[in-house]
Amino acid sequence: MNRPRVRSLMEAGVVLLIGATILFLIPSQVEKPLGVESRTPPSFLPRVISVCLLLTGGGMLLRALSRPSLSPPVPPAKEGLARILLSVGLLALYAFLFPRLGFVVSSFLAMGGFAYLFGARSRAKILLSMVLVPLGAWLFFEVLFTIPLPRGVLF
Amino acid sequence: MFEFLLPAAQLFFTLKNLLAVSGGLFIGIIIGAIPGLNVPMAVALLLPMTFYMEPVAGLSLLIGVYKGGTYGGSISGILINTPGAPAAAATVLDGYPMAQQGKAGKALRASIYGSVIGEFIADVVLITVAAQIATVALKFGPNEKFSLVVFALSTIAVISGGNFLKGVAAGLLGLFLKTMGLDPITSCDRFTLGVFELKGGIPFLPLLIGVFAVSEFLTQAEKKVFPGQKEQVLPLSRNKEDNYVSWKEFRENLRTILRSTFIGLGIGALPGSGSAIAAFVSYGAAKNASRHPEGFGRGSLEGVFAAETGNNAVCGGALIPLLTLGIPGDAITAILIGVLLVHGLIPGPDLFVKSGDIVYAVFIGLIVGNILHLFIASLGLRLFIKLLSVSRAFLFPAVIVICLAGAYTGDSSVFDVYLMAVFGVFGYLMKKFDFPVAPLIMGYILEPLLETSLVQALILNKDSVLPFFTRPISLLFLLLAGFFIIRSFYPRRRLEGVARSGGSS
Repeated sequence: MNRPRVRSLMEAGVVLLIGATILFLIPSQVEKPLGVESRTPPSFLPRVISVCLLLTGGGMLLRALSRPSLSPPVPPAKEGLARILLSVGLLALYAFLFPRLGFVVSSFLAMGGFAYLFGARSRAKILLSMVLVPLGAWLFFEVLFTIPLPRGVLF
Repeated sequence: MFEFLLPAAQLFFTLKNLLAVSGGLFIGIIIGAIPGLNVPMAVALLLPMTFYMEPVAGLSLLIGVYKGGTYGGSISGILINTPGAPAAAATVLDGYPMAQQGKAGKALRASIYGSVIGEFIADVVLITVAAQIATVALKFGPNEKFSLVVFALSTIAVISGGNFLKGVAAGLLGLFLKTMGLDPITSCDRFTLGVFELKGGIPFLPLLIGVFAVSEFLTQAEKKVFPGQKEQVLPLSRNKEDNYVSWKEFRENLRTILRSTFIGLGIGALPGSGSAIAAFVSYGAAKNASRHPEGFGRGSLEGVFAAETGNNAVCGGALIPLLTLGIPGDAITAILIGVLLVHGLIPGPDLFVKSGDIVYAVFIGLIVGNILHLFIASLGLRLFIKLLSVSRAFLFPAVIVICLAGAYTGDSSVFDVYLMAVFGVFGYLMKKFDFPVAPLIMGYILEPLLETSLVQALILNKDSVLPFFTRPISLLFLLLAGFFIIRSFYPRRRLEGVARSGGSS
């Protein structure tokens, strides 16, 4: 089987799976209103959405079987994939440290990491961006607009 | 009306009022351009300040923020594929591809001209025939609102490009995401998965920032890097034609601008709708009527004009039910009612009789504000375009830092930051598998109006769906929806036919 067809089948499968999962979750995840009989209960719209998703997935499946995707997939290069995974990892770490170290310190570290990952090598410029960007954002949000940002142990 | 014009002009033309409008526009543009900060937030923050101002100055300041913020969202959308406001999500569809072709200057100028003209015409209509429009808007019951939402959803067919089924799937997913949390009618839990934070539903800011900004960040991360070298974010053409909108281009798009203005005005006049809906519907209508629909989504100037004119015309439209009936259409106009009340002005038909000079002074402020908007935005354009000369290695990390702060500030919740990261990865995967992102946002925005109007209509109709087809306005929207869907297939089929015949020859 050619790769565009496999990809189209996979895409249809994901849409079908999402539709089926929503339908499967409705009895346990949608609360029933007590003592109220209605033709449009809280589960009404999710049910309609899941059925529509199943129909759309079915349509995509039929299309994939009859006519595969015209554009072949472009997988990221190994180097690119590694950078994406590193970026996602750094982003997750940043989100984890954000409430613990505070906005300024965690952003200071994240800015340096991301800038290096994106190809910056000048130490002076990286350091300057690590200081200016978090501090600028902090001044804008917290000082100018009095919107509190999380504070950590240091700042 | 004319008896109020002279005293209103005397009341408005003071340095204080001119500074208030200019300041409001400036703040609005900056707030609108920063992902995570939004216009209702800025209006709410500036509200206490207006209590100590004259009513005309206070209202002018907030209306300036409203207008500036609605336009400002397009700046970051065009330059870095990250709409600063939901209303700019439709502008991104063609604005960013234009910037990728080195035409950021032209796209930003089109966005300014479209916004200002849309606002100007909407303001003139507000001043002259507000009462008549408000009467028509009052005829919109749940049946009509439901059909309007169906019509708005039908634009998914148009904005999905060649991926109709994928667009529908993304739109349905957007609808589903908004159903999570408490049911709006019975307040029963839906898909909260035992997570307390999900009781309030999936918040909009982390979703918008995630699927646009974080996914773009990951897309940029995938690109090859050249360590130590300065890489520009996007190319910037030095050709004058790529940086300005010529008179010929403006004339060619005039019909689109006028059509989008009236769509924005009409949608704005309906309480509960908003500028994002107007932008998408205007965009869909422009593509359907265009002689070059194949250019949409690939950097069409017409697409930028349509989306921007449509979303800014809403500002004038939203003031119609506010001033004539005292009905706020959205969060911003609800805050504006507060300002009116604080100054002893009670919105409604009497307002025009009892405080005509103040109302018409605000109207003059709207018109003057449009001229100032043109100047302030044009001056800022040179500065914004300089963003593109910042090295990619510093710009995108800085955008992520600002986005993270923006996602947090919505509800001051770390959970929202995690959601933003998850939606970022999700948005990246959607892009990789050619699922259009705009329908997801469209579905999310439309779900509350869809669900409440559907349930209300069915209760009113005693579970019958017949009134959707027998009430004239409702039927008109349903027919338009059908036309949109059928029409969106037609040019593609024709193009495929041309391609096939070309290929075989």
